[in-house]
Amino acid sequence: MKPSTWSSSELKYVTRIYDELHGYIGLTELESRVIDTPVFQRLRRIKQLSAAWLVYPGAVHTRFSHSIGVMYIMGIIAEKLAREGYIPGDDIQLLRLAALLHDIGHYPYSHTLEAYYLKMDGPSHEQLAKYIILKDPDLSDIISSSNIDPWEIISIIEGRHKEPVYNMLLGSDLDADRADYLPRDALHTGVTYGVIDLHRIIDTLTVSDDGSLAVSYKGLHAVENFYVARFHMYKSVYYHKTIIGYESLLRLIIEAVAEELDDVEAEKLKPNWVYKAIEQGEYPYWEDYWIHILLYKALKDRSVSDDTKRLIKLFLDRRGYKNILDLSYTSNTPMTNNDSNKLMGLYEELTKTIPKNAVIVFADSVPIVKEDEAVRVILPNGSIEWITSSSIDTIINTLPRYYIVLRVYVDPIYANLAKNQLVKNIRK
Amino acid sequence: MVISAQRKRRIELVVLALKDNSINPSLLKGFSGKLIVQKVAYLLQEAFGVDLGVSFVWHSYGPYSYEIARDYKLINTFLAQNNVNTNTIEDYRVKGIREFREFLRSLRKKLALNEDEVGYWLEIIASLYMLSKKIYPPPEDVVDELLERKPYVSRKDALRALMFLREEGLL
Repeated sequence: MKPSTWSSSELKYVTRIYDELHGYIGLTELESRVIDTPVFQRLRRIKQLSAAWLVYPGAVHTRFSHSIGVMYIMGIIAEKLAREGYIPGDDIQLLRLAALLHDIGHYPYSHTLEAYYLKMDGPSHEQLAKYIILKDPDLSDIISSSNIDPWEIISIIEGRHKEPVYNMLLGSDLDADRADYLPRDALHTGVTYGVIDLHRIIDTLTVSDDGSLAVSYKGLHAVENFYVARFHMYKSVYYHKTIIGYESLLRLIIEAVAEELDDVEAEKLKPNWVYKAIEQGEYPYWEDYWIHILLYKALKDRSVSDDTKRLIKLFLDRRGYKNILDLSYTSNTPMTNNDSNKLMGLYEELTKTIPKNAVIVFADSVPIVKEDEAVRVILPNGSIEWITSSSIDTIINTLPRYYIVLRVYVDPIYANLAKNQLVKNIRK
Repeated sequence: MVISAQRKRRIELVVLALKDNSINPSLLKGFSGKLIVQKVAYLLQEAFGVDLGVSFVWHSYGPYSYEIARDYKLINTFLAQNNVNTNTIEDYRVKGIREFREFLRSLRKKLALNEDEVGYWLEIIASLYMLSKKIYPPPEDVVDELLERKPYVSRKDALRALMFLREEGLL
């Protein structure tokens, strides 16, 4: 992709950074100071796609480059909307800063570890972002010495800013976040059908009369391509069967390590540790590498069982749980009770002869097109319609609404036994 | 397992608030059903302290949660099956749900005299609550802000809803 030729009339850039996706990205004094804080530098050590590198070797890009990319896209959109008079130019810096900080609260291994903490009533990454913006010693000082209200940044990240369009720019189908991660993840995985026509989409974005984000009709093809690309990325990357298998295995390992490891590092697996860590400046050193330190410690520690050590080796040596059954399908309705009952039935059946922690079932309804949250299109006659409206001639209406993911994973030791059991089950 | 424990708990809490005709089941269909469930979940969590572990954003019809949207079908299934284990629900949450059901009774008595108006008033009330308590920076005049966002609501209705929220001690 060519280096950016965009320049800002509103912001004064003091330095620039070269991004592999967007080219040179200018940084204001405030952004540069934020990026230089330890808590932001931490994002260099959190991979964007969690354990996807175990399948796509190039998927080692980080939330650091993604965050800067989102800020860049937000800037382009905000400048366009400001030029058109929809938002005040003074808010461009606020929006760029919210974009820059939107992922600041991500856990090590992102959603993989977040699911573990959420299960224990720990904070979500959005809640952590809020806490970090207010309490991180360096970041809170920098923001409070600027003319930006930290609560406005938080309200945009949380989707409760007074201006609905600000929330949509960072939390809707066609927002700056997705507009960056789709092409970035496509670039690093090599899944080329994840590529989108980013600049066409941005060029056709506008604000409708009711204050919502919308695209003009001439951007319809680019938006169609965006939905199709995302659908392919869900299937090929975000819900790839092997990647999900390794992420599920890592969660299982973390649960076991939290119970067994007798070490100060295991304290960090308690849900409330993180708040103290943010206040005391320990949080910046809690990232993907820390997970590996934890695993290596557990491998050496006498308090950890041989079973758990074997699981850790399965993860590190890439000999993880086998996906012995994949019943995933696309549908226009979310997952049904039949689906979950079927999967639970299989789990009950398999665990009659196989230990419970040797079987992982995974189920999710992934929305491909959300009927009531989809993009709005401004038609040539000036009327506004959801892109899913039957009055619009679009391939969006031929896309399935959901990707239902239903899978069974089994410890490789028991994989053959489990497969045989499934075959017997089918014959019954 | 298939439905995570947190999700199941969240669904159960919403079902407890809706069951036994607290909301007429005939209203829980189609678009109006989705709208009512969203507003019930919002008020439960934000105004009555029954933490559902979800976040709400401002959407075309006011407070909206992506998670609750995904739970909608299961909420209806649980409701139809009366499939809720109340024994494991903490006292403070049970108290919050009881207070919410009282609030609904009061709403019917004072505002939504016809059953099919319940969704409309819940939308206004939840939206006013969000604009007053959660939106940042706070609007100068919450009624003006509501009317700007919802031109189909009359000033008279917005003021009645605001008064009701104040009488109930929620604002």
